[in-house]
Amino acid sequence: MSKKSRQKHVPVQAPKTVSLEKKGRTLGFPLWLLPIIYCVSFVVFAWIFLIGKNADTLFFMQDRGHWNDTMVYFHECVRMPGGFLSWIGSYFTQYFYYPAYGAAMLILLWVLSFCIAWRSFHVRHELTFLLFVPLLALLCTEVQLGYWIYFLRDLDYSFYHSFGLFFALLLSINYTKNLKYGGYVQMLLVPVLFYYPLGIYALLAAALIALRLVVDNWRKDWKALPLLIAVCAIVPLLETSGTTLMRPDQPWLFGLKRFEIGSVRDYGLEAPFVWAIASSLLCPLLGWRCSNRFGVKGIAVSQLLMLIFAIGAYRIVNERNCSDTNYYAELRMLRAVDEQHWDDVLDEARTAKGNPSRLMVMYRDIALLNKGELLNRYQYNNRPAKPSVMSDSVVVRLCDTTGDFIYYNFGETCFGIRRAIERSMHYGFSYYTLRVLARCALINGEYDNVRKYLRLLEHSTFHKEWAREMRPYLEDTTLIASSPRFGLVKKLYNEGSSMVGSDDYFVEPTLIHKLSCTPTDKLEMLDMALAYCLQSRDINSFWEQAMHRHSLFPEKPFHRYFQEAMLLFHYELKTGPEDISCFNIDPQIMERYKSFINSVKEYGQSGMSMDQMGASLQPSYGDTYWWDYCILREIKSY
Amino acid sequence: MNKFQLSTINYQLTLLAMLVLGACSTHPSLPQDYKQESEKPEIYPDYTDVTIPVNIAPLNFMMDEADEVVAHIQVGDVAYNYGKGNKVLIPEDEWKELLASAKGNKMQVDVYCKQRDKWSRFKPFFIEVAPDSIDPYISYRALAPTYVGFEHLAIRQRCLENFKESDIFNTRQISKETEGVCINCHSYQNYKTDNMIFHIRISHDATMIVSNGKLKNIRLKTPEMISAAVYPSWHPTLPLIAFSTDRTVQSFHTRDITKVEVMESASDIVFYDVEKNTMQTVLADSIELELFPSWSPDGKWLYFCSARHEFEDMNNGMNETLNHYRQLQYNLYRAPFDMKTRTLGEPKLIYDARSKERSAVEQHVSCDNRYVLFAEGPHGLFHIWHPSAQIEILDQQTGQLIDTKAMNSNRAESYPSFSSTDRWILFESRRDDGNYTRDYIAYFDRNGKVHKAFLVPQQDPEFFRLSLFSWSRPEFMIEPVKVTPKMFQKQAIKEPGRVN
Repeated sequence: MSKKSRQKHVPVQAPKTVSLEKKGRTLGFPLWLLPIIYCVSFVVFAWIFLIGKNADTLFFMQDRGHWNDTMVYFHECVRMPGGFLSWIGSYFTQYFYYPAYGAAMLILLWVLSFCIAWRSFHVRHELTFLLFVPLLALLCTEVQLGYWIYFLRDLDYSFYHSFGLFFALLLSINYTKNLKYGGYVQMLLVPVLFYYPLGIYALLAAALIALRLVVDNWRKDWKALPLLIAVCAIVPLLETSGTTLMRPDQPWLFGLKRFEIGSVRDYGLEAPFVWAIASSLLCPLLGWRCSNRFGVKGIAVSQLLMLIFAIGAYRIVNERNCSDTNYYAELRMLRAVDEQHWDDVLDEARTAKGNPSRLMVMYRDIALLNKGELLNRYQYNNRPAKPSVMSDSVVVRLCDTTGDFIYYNFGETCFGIRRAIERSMHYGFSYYTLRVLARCALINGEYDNVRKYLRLLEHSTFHKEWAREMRPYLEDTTLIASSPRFGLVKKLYNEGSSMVGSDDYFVEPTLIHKLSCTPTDKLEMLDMALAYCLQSRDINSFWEQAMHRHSLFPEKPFHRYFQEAMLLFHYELKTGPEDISCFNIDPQIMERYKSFINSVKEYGQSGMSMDQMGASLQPSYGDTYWWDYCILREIKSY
Repeated sequence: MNKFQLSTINYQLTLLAMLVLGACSTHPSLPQDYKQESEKPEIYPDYTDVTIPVNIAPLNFMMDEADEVVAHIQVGDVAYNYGKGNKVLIPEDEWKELLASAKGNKMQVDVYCKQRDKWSRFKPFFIEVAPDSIDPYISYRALAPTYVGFEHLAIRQRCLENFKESDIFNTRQISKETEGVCINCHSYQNYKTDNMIFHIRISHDATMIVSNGKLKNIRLKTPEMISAAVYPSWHPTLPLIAFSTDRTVQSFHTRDITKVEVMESASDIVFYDVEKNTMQTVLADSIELELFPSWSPDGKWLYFCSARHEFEDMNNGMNETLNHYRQLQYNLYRAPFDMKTRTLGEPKLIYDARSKERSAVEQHVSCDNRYVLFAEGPHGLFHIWHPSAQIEILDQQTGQLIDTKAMNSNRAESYPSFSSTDRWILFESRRDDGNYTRDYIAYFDRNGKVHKAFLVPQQDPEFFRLSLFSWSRPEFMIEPVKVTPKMFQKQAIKEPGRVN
């Protein structure tokens, strides 16, 4: 590129340094350093929000994503406008398997986008901070999701729009500056050639080209704007005329994210996407009259603006960032359960701030069950948290989040498969779903089905290892029951009752009810059933299972919590057998029970509310089933 | 819009793929140094010793554990070698040449496989090329193997003579994120597409009817009917469609890998006159659950299946159905049909499945009225969920079932139908992995013998392994659907008409 030709479009280069004369002294400051300083600040800022605050979200995002290296998958993606973005987006989303790795790629992509915009539109150095507006909007899209992450329909969510913006900026570079009408040709060709692979971002590229033409020479090139409108109206219409993959009203905005569930639509979450596109349209304007130098005052004002911008950006991104601690705890617990790191699950349960969500309680109980300590659940905080909500009003239900995985962990693999498939119908098959399906099918003995899912996972980048670890179980299926990985689930599956019914979208009550009614002669399973009778507060089933256990294993003492329940159910609720002496209740427990009842009566007579009574009883009896039974009466499932 | 519509991008990609394939198409040489195996190769799909029509698309296949595969296909003097990685991909023009040479005869396939740098040669297998051609098109419903939810599903058509495939209608054309749409029960008159229907449910609820090429959408429900019209069958000559109308119940297994039970707590059969837009209930016995009407090809008989169930409490039919789902077993019946008066005669039992503790449904009659093809399972009507379900053929001349072992597997088979010439049977099966429905074709020769079934061929033989969609309810067609998806879409969003 000759200097002459460059000067044709950009008459004077932006000043690289400026001399500031102040009180007789000359201060030289290299202005070209400003964009670099902004860029480094942005990288640090983005890193803090992505990795410092949202590493768990990023990991989960890839787990709820899916990419494989087959042409079948590629064809599936590229059928849609924006299909290439979808494919490449889902490819890079995989790298969040190592959140820092994926975040570095995403930030690098943003930095590249910044550099292209800066150089392409000849933005003066001191105003380059404004080029971060679309990138900050994209950063908001990464950190704002919260529970919406379970309801994403896009497996490519994280990178789709970032790549879209990147390609739009790349295509809008003035490649045709030496050609007469080159800009017009470029503006026409870009949407025609790239609408299908890039969707709405090809239209954005055309708009950027048009705006550049207009900014460069308004009097001559104002015609670019009506031409742009015509191109953007016609190209999507023509290119999607044969497709059956969208409604006729969709081609122009296809690919723009919608957050919609039931009757609720969250425009707030959609706004950053619109902002990213709209603000990028300002880029060509930032190069306007670039040759005119800013004076000292101009620079000072621009830097003041930059400071206000930085503070505003921090406040907005921070405000957008999901702040629900239970949401993050659930993500960490899910991963720990998935990897069978039971102690990590319990640590998370112990250190959780505030009351646990039902999902956290379920994960914790899975960990306890696997450690053979299910009854220790009364040593943890069981006070119910407020229901998890998204967009302030939509209650998040277990069956829509990880109901499938929870079912699997309790050996309810058929229900697990059902929930996984139902979810996938709406939100696509993901690595997470494929692993759940593979495990459920393995427990069910549907080995060809397992092979199918493993084959798909083997075509991924990071989940192939997991799939390879599963292969030995298919080669020797006797390993399933004896392995620590599947042993308990297989046992629960084998002992589970065969029934026909439905969960009515309630995972927790379905499991508790079914587990408490487990018909079994095995001591371990009987104890589990009794434990779930305590949870379900199904007193009839409790006595039935207790009598059955006693008849089979009269010499085996009942666990402390069962003894506590017996006392409460027998003396206070007047249920069960007339004589419970056969259960050999520990005298110390009996003494403590009497003391508990006396305290309850005393507090009741003093007019305490239930909450006050619970708080007063907790120091002495918070670890007992009595406290749980009497105080935690309002536990709802979702 | 062209008749067999492809989306722009698919068309471009197909062209590109063909160009690339053409450019890379070489015939690898056969390895000289190999170990001779005594077994036939384990290929996917299993095309060993199958009988295929003379107009079928190339039977591309692959070998799982192989690093490289070379197949030597020979018919008389014509012979080609194919192999690319672990796949055998056969160009369409050469395949047609092979088929033409082997018509009424066999082609021999020698497979060489390279594993850990060592070549093996397997015992050759044969592919018999029947002189009979197959109906060139099938249509099917593509959806995830779901239970209750649905979102992205399409009724698609596929040309069996090549790999061209397109949507007839896709729910994405009309559905919104907050409003799911279900489409189902595509059906044609006499394998032609000038008269066809399918239902749209949930939003834009109506039945799309193409009558003599003209499209309309009607809400097929009258106050007398149990539900809107469900399972259809076009009369072969009259503008008349028989439907079942029923109340469906679903329940889920906790341990049984059947996973779901679909049952009817009530069902009747109605006739819909397409020209007069009138509905008439024809079978409505309160203790019979009449279902799946289908016409004999001469139009003189209406075949259907029915389960007998006397409800103890009619007001609690749903719960009773759930409690007694195993007792709902269907027998096959047929009733004479007077084409002038359009009335049905007395139904007659033609196959007593219940006496064998089985349930026979989804019957389809051959052109000569001799054979009745149906799916038989342990109970109920949705046999694709019943692993023990099989395809059976009743010979009405002898009253006996003929041997269908060759086409069945140890997994669920369902929804069988004859081609327009009776020589080919199309059905759905879960034999591949137990969960995803795939479409299989079997030859039914003039002697009434059933041959080994083969999977509908795909350009990429790995396609079905990777696809997470089921291909359900396959139907033969002798021509593609002429109404375009766009025309269906425009009609679907209009307010539907109502039955007179």
